[in-house]
Amino acid sequence: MKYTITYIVTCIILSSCCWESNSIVPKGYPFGGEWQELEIVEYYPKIKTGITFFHNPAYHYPIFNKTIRDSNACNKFFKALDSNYINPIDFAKYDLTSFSVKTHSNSVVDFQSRVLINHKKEKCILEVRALTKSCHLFGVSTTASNEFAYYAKYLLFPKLPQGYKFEAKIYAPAENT
Amino acid sequence: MKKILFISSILCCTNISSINIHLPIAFQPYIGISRMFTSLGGTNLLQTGLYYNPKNTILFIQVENNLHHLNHKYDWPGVGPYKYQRHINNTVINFGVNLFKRKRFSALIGIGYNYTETSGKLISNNETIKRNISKGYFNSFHKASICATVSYRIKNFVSVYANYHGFEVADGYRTTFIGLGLGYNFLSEEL
Repeated sequence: MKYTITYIVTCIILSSCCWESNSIVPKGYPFGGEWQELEIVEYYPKIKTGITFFHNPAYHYPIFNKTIRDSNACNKFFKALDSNYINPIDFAKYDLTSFSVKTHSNSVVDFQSRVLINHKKEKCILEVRALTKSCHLFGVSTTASNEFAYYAKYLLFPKLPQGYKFEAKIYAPAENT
Repeated sequence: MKKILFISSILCCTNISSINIHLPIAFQPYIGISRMFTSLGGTNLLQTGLYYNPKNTILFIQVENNLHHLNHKYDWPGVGPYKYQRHINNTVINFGVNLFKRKRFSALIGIGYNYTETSGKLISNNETIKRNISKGYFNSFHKASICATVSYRIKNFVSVYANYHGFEVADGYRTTFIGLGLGYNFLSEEL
């Protein structure tokens, strides 16, 4: 009986030394201040044949983060990557943003992105967060890796009123490495 | 200037000799205003709580609730006005020590367990607004926090306090609550 209790206590102590950490903010986390979340749509650019536009986002890192608000800028941006690009976006209703994120290759599980608007500050922000899960055992983290992964997305969000600023905030474990 | 006059009038009205500091506070229900700070801004909340100090110990336990529930008005230029209901409810149970329980000025430090619930709801009949803004969200989470309170007994039965508790939900999302208010003291008869 004595040994059983010792064994259970030891197991509890050891298991408590290893835990998973999770750096994602749950969707809808309180923004504080006067923020609301905008409806966003993922955008997959296509070329004339109808095939989804392909490129390697890592190739463009870190200059990939860009916000496009009119057709001319959109055509210029995508046609530089593929001359057969066709632009179906209605820029009277939407703006387009793209981002790329750098993170450790073995730790990323998922990404979350959202666009928030604040009418009082006349500002809009894109937040991108990497969901990572890792086990920390006695101070050693399994997230440590010299290899990086890159992740990119295009998002359409409602046309911003004139004069509203747009800013991207990226939270990823390796973003500043 | 008005604030300084208000505070000084409270202090002048206080009869210091009437305060029996040897009788520590046993129970203290309190009420005040708190502000929740996140990386994106602040929100005001109504703070209510109950502090309990068991006899002949410096340990305390405290239960506190911070609540915000309001419909905020906004205007999307060129589209129209709309309302957005914001609800934040934070309940925290703190444990810790009261460093100067027999003094007029006391300081409490401890750790706490938080349950926080947040939700938002769009209130509008405008189709464009409904298409552009998320119709709502609900989120709840449990977090451990650290807490600190400083309290000053202005009368035997009345104290003013300022408190703090904070935790981090994720990178860049440190959440801090700072509160300010008044408490009513039920004194202990311990020796």
